[in-house]
Amino acid sequence: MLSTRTVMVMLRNNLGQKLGILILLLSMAVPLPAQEDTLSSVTPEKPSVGQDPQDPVGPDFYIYSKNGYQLGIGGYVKFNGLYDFVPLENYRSFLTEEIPVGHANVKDNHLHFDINQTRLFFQALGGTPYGNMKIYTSNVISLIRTGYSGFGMPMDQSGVS
Amino acid sequence: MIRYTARRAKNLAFTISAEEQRPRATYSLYTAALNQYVPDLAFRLRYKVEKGHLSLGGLYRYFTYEDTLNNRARSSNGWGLSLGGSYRLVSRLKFLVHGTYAYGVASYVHDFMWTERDFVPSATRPGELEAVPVYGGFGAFEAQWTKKTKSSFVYSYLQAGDIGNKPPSSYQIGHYVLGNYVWFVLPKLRLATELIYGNRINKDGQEGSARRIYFMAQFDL
Repeated sequence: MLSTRTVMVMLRNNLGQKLGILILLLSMAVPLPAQEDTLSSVTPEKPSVGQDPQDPVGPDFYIYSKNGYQLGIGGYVKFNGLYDFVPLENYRSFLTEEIPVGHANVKDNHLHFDINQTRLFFQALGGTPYGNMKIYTSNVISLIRTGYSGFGMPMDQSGVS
Repeated sequence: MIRYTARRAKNLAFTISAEEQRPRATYSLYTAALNQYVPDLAFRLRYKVEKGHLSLGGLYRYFTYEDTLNNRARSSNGWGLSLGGSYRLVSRLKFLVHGTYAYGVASYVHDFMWTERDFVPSATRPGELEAVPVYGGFGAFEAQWTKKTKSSFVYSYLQAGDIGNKPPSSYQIGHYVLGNYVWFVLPKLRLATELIYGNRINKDGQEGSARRIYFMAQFDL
C-alpha cells in the first residue's frame, strides 16, 4: 500500500509533468470516444509498456512505496492530420471497404486534424508471494481504452527499466 | 479477456486466450441474433531466431443464432489460422510477411471488421447462416535509415470467398500499398508521414481507388 509518508515522487521531466496535469484537467472536461491508431508502422525505440505496439515507452513519473510497489504514470500527446483525395468516412484507419466505387468515386480533397489519440496510462508493479504483479491501464483522454494484469512474469518483461 | 503465456524454451512462447465473442453477421428475414455465451478461443505459437521470428496463430468460435422460420436455435463453427514471420535481411532492413485464412471470423481481419460478414444468410437454405471464408496477407519491408529515422513499405491483399446472397454491390477484394517515414526528432518527440493507395473491387466487378496522406506528431509525457 502507498502511504503519504513513505511515498517518494521522482520527476525526470518537468515539462512532462505540466503536460500531464494539463491533459488530466482536459480529461475531466472533454470526454472523447475511443480511437484506434492510424499510422500502423510507427513503433517506439524502447519496449512499449502496454499490449499495443504504439503504447508509449516507460513512464518518467513514478511513485514508489517502501515495500517495493511502484506506480508509473505516463502517456503521450498525439496530433494527427490526414489529407484525402477521395473522402473516406473513417479518420482512424484506412479501410479499403470504405472506398467508393463507380460514379460515387469522385475526387473531393479533404483535410482533417485531431488529437483524439492522445493517451494517458497507469502502470503498477510489485512483488507478491505468487510472483511479480503488473497492472496496466491505458486511457484515451478520460475513457479506459485497454487494461490488463499479470502475475509471475520476470520483472524485465515489464518494459520499465 | 483472459490470456496465459508459457515460455518453455528461451526462443519458444505459447499463448492461449479466451476472447469476448463479438460476431458481426448479416441476418435475413428468417434469422435473428442470439446472445453468445462461449468466448472465442485463440492460441499463438511464436518461435524466435537470431534474425527474426515465426508465428502461428489459431482461433475457434462457437456461434449461435435463431432460425425464426423453424423457431429454433442453430449454431455454426468458425475458425481461423494465420502464419507470419520476420527476417532481418541486413542490419538495417527487415522483411515481414503474414498470411491469414478465416472462416466465420472475418471480423478479426482489419478491412472486414465492419462488413458484417462473419456469417451471412445461406443462398439455398432460408433460416440458416453460412460462414464466409476470407483470406489475405501482407508483405512488408522495414528500413532503419539512421538511428533516428525509419520507414516501412507494405503491400496487403484481402479477398472474401463465397459471400452467399449478399448483394452484387458487396465488397469482395481489397488491396493497398503504403509507405511511411518516421523521424525520432528527440527521445520524446517523433514525427511521421505516410502515403496510402488502396483499391476496392465489388462482387459485381465494379471498383474504386483512393489515396490518403497521414501526418503525425507524438510527444511522450
